[in-house]
Amino acid sequence: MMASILALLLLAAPSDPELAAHLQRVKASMSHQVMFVEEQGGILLESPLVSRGVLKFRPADRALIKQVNQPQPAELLVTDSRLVINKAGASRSYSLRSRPEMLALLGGFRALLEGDQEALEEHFRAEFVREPQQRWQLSLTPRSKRLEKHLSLVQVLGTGAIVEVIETTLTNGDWQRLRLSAPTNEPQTVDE
Amino acid sequence: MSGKTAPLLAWLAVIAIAGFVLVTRVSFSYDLALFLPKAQAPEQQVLLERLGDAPGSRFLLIGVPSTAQQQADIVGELAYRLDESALFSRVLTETSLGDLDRVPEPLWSYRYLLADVALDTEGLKKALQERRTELTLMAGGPLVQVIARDPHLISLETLAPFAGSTDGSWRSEQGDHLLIAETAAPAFDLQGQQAALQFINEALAELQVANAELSGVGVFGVGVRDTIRREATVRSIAASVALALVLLLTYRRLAPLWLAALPLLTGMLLGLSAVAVGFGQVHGITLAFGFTLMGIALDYPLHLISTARTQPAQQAARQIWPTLRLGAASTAVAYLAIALGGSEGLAQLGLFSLVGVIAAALTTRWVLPTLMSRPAAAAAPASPSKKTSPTLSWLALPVLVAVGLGCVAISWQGAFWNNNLSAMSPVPAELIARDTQLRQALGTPDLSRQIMLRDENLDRLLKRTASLDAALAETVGQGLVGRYQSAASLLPDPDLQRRRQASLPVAEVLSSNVTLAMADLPFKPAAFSEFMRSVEQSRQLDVLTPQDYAGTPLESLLAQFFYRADNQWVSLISLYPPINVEGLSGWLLRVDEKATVIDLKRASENLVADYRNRTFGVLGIALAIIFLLLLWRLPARRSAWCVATVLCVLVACAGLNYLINGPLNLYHLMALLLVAGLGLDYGLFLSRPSSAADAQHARHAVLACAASTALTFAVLALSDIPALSAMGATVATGVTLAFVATNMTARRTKAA
Repeated sequence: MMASILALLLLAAPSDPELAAHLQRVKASMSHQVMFVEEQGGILLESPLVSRGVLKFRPADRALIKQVNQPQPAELLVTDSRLVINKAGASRSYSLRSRPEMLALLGGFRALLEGDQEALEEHFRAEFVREPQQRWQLSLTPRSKRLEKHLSLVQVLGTGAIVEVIETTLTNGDWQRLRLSAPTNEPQTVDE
Repeated sequence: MSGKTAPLLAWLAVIAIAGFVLVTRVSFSYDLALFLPKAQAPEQQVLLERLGDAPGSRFLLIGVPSTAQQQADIVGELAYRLDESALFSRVLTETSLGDLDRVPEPLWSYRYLLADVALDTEGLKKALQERRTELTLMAGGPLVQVIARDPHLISLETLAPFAGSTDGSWRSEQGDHLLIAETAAPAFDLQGQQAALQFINEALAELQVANAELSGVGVFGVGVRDTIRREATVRSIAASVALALVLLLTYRRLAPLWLAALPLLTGMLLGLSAVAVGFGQVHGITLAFGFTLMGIALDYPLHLISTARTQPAQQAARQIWPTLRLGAASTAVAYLAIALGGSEGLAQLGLFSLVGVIAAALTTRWVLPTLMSRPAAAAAPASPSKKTSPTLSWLALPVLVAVGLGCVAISWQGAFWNNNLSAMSPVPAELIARDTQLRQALGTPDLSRQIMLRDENLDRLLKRTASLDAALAETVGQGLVGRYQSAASLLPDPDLQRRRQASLPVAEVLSSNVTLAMADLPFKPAAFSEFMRSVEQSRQLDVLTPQDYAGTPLESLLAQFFYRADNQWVSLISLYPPINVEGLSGWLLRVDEKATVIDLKRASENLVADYRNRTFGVLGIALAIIFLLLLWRLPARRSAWCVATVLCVLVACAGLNYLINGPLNLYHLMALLLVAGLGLDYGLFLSRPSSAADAQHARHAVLACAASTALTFAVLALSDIPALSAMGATVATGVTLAFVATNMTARRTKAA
């Protein structure tokens, strides 16, 4: 009884001051360009599908660019309202509204980059837990009914100020583990 | 005594029967199409068929102000909630692929008959590689369900062109996010529309969206109904008060108030039950116009009450009856003409007014006198003084005509009649303009210009649609049209469907193709078993027909392009701007000479003009009959004077209102009809040979009639509703003119 009341109180807490401070530290260390290795599994896949590439943030319009180099080169551009897929020389654009989970993930990613707790909690209930050896875990669960239908949990794992892994679990059992590695050193500017 | 009570009892019995009929039989409809004439040209037919329940008419356009970044997904959440509600059949957002895990039927089940799909190893391998790439970009999610059953995503490809604008975002010019919710209820089902609007407003409130914009036919309908209810209530109370004041001032007694109301109410009750019996349902406009036209029934009791001030009511009734009967009969002939006007709405209106006027006249003659108390001045018996004929002056007539023509001349706007169908709409013009703006922002096709194909034979029409659809690509290249959309991909012709079906591989072949295609790809062997089952099922399907769309979410989408009307199938091809109508028509002649480019705006203008011309034709005949009727009962000179005066009053009244309002529409025409009836009534009473006392009674009654009518309609003229203000202004000015004209010209000479 006591525990559930406590849990309710915690859930109702408007914001966690510790999380706010932590997000500021993460922001300072985040780069606008990181390498990634992604693994995913799900009902269609026999073995995890592994892909590699670069994840870029374009501050001008706060767009996120996922450039996949392997297994097949392709690029995804996520803006406020649109998904643009560039592959094999063809470009196709979709509304982000048909993919609520993408919109939420974009929002979450931006929130980390910009240290914006409010933006983070726009889409998610955030639970921040510290673990030994400077490790930490940020669990994000969807707020809206619509998002809940597709997305069950996003977990952000890290050490110190560094984000290392973003794990996404969808309601149909599909999952995705995005492992971020040191920023690429080449000083390249990101343009469209 | 029994001679007095018999009419009263008969009247009570008729009232009871009419009341019973009303309670048990009447229902109301608001379908405007009922009021339009039976269409002649094919273009007009398309217009009318679609006016009542055009697919776009169910669209509610919602504009959500884009505020803070934080609210970016509110549109998505709103769309989701609306989509979950049974009140809406479709919700279209920026891309309406909406929920990817739910491709609508029958498109989903028939996807392998609707498009060519490469199911050999090569084709499958290519499709699977593309899906793998997409997974690396956007892992999992709703798409996975579709991929497992449709690895080519052929269902989404087929649906994509219908999903609204495929490029460019759905934003209004202020940057509001737009979405379309298609209601399950047709636009004229105002209760259904209201429920839908309420749901949207509640959802907006829950999502804390302020200042959202709502537009669409349903919004107008509900808004107009509310405005009309409010306006009608306020105006009718104000008009009734005005009327009561005039009657009190004229007669200085209370009794005339309810006595005057009795024939009017009797007429309305009987008219309404006649329409209920004759047509089953009563149109809302029948009521509105009908009550207006029945205004003439107020004059009958006033003649009686004025005349009965100095003599017993029975005697007064007998005395005025010949003139009153003639006036009522003439009016009834005019209303009969309306009844034959060519549309069900006008037939209802005519029947309502015809029955109403006759009932009011009969009530005045037989019922009212038994209810009236003896006159205060009854001591003075009807003077047996000599009857004299008034001198009929023709002098005012040229003046009236000159006034009418002069008004039109100084304010000429190129046309006397307004042919725009929307001029008859009670919706304020700026709301309609805003709606058009929003629809343009959404890139919806130009519904007023389409290509139409018709055929009795369904298969032949489907083939013609498909070949025209393929050929039209060339016109886009030539710049004749921006883009086009037909039903060809939703409903391929049966031969093509069978050819596709025959080329689908059998289960074993497909299975081995899939296995070979999956080499080097990370998919599970069993991942596509659903897909293989779907292909196998597709081999067994009967071809897709229009009937298969009935009751599915795509029914309304298909109906936008393909429907059946009068033993014919109609296929429409939507055109997107820019459209070169002449160039396209010329091109069509070479490709499919039976196809036509229809221009609904032009068709609607022709329709309104035809309608008016037909009404004029029937009214001409009615006028001739009235004139003959008058000639039969009255001297030629008096008949000619009455008719000429009325016609000149109409010319002046029409001219004045043209000056006030610009080109006249159907509402003005209806109001002019009432003016004609009232003018004739005044003329008949004032031109009657009579004793000096009777002449005074007649003058008194006409003054009471004219003052009450003018005041009542002046109250309506101040309304915000275009129809009410047009009718109000026309009748108020017309009655004033008729009063002045008939009084001035009926000056009595002292001597016989």
